[in-house]
Amino acid sequence: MKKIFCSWEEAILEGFDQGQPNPEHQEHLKTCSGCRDALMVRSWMSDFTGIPAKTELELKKIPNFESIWQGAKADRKYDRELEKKAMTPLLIPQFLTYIAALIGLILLLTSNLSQARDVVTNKLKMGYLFDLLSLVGKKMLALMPYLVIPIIFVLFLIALHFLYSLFNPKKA
Amino acid sequence: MDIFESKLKKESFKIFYRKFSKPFWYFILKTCGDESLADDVFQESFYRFFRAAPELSDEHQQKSYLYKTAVRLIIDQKKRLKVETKYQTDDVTCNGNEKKNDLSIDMEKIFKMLKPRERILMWLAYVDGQPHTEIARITGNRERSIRVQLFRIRKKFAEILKSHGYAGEESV
Repeated sequence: MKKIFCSWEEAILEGFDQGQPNPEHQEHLKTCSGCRDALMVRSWMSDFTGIPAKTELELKKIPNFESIWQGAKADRKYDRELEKKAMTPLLIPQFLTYIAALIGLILLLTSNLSQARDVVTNKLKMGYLFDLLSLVGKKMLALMPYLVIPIIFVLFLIALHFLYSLFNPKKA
Repeated sequence: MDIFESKLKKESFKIFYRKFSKPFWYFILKTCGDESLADDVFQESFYRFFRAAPELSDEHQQKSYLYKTAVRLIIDQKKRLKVETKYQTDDVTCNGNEKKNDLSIDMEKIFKMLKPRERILMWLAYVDGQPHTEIARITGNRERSIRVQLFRIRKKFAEILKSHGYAGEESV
């Protein structure tokens, strides 16, 4: 592969920045067009950003910090309103999903499960998983009187989460 | 806690703004080549920076974040304005430069011969003296690619300078 970068370049540019001409560098520059170009560009850029540029920069009135800060603050408020508007339609399906999941769970726990067992065992070949879930479900049903309070608590948390999402949409 | 309610954050941003706003505005001006556009990009970059309030450990990373935002804005704006400015003459693009001297205007014109992306890379490398890793982070490119791109741009720019009578030998 052709080597396009000269190993001298960095040292030559550094010497230029420090304003220290080096005879060895001068010798190299006679034979290396890449380094000559690099030095020419660096020198031009230095002139370009030199005295006229400094004057230009001093003349320029940059907006003060407070106005930029307040502008950003106003923009942020506007962003949040837009986010809220954008998020609202997404929250309805989310809520419906919660409800559907809850109904599904209740049906699964209260039905005799024979139909579901058939699907999982014969079609999906995952009978062991079903047995495990069924066992857990049965145990939970047996303990149902004691589980009423935690279930209501979980439902309450879901509702709370929904309300929170509705009024405090996540950052985009 | 909302970033705009934190006095501590506001103070730290204020210090950061005082330190970097002028060189940052100058970087934008020289890379996008239009003062009103530079003002817009400057303001929007700081708005975005404050709104996002990046949790970055040091000033250097914050600066890098700010420059990255500006680079994206400049490139987006230039793409948008490309069609509008296609048929404009040089006289139109030089509006607002009346206070500058001829040499400065000539240099501006020469620098504008590079594409906005090329100007950004040149500025970051040759004026800000940013290392390739940092330039890669700001522009969203790979470090190796930056090295090659800079080499090509420099070569192209050297040709432009030579064609405008800028002699490299004088600067050695």
